[in-house]
Amino acid sequence: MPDSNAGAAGDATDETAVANQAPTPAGGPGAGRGNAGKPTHGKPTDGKPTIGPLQLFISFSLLTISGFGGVLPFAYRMLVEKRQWLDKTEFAELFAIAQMMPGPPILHIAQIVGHRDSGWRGGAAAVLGIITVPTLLMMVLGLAYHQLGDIAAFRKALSGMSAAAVALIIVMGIKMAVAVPRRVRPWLVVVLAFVLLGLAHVSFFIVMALLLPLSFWFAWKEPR
Amino acid sequence: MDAAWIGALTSSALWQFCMHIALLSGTAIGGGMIAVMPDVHRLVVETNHWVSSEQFTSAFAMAQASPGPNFLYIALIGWQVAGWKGTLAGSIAVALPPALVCYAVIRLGSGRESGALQKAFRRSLVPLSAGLLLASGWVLANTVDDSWRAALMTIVFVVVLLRTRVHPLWLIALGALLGGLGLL
Repeated sequence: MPDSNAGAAGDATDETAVANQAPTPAGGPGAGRGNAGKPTHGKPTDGKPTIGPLQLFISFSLLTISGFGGVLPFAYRMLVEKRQWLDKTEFAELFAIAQMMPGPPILHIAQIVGHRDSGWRGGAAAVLGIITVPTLLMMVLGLAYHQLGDIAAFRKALSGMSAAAVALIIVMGIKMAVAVPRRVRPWLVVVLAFVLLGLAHVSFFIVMALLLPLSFWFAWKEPR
Repeated sequence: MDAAWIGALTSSALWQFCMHIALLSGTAIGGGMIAVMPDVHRLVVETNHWVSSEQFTSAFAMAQASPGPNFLYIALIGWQVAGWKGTLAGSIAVALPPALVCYAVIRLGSGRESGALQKAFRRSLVPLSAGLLLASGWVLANTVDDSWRAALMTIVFVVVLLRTRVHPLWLIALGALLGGLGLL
């Protein structure tokens, strides 16, 4: 019971990752639930040669390229199943830690894994691996949009794609909302965040400054 | 060196874009760059008119449909703001602040998440993320679903994604097809 809510949160975050993706193993409820508080067993790289920055860069580049519509589930597949740099529990813990830091969780997972093996250079190599090739790809896409943007059919196809892509975001939000405890105070935070950011167009910083302390206070006071 | 070029730099759209993105990515807890989308939209479309609403949503859709992390839609919006330099700078602005925070956390060794404080913090992020993501969906839907047919398609896709395990890329391809044929 004491852990049930943390488990729910873990599920939700995994769901968020999955929401965007394919039928993948993505952390999964099994990996997230209940393992959160348990101690880690030693590094999985014990006894193995350390992974150099170059290999980290290449591995994470390959990972990011295979990640259509989101990289996290593919990260699980690569880190846990294929290369076995992490075990299931470690991945779940790493994901939970990454969630608590600002910015995209996948970057933090890459950086922590890289740092563990090759210090800050490894962390930097892993992060660069995640973003370098897709950034070049975005330049190509930007150019393509620039060249083809005047063709009516192309624009219509893109707006059709956009209307489909919105569904992914809404589903992420719904899956996250399902994990919110059915009590007044957490739902007050959901509604306030939605109204302030979505309807009233208040700045993200103001919304966070107001709601993060409020939500934390609610979570702290929650009976458990 | 006089201060003129500094003034020119800091007043440029690219610089303002990057600073805002860096601030967002350095503070976006609980949902990443998708959750801050309404704020990005406000900055680049509503306040500064650097890109049109259509360009904004197109950039998002293209980033979704291509390999790589979702948050790089920022890099593609960067292209709309300032060409390839915008893409490069947008990528750096998204990745660098979180990386510095992460480095600090690693060095301080406070990456443990066993304490009651951390658990409460994690719990507090769930309702916040839900609200932020739903707000993102709402803002985006308002700009994208400009016809009742498009809105209907979005709603149907939401149901399909919730009920089945179909790969989202198929739905995006279907959306492109329906849109391209002028059916939306």
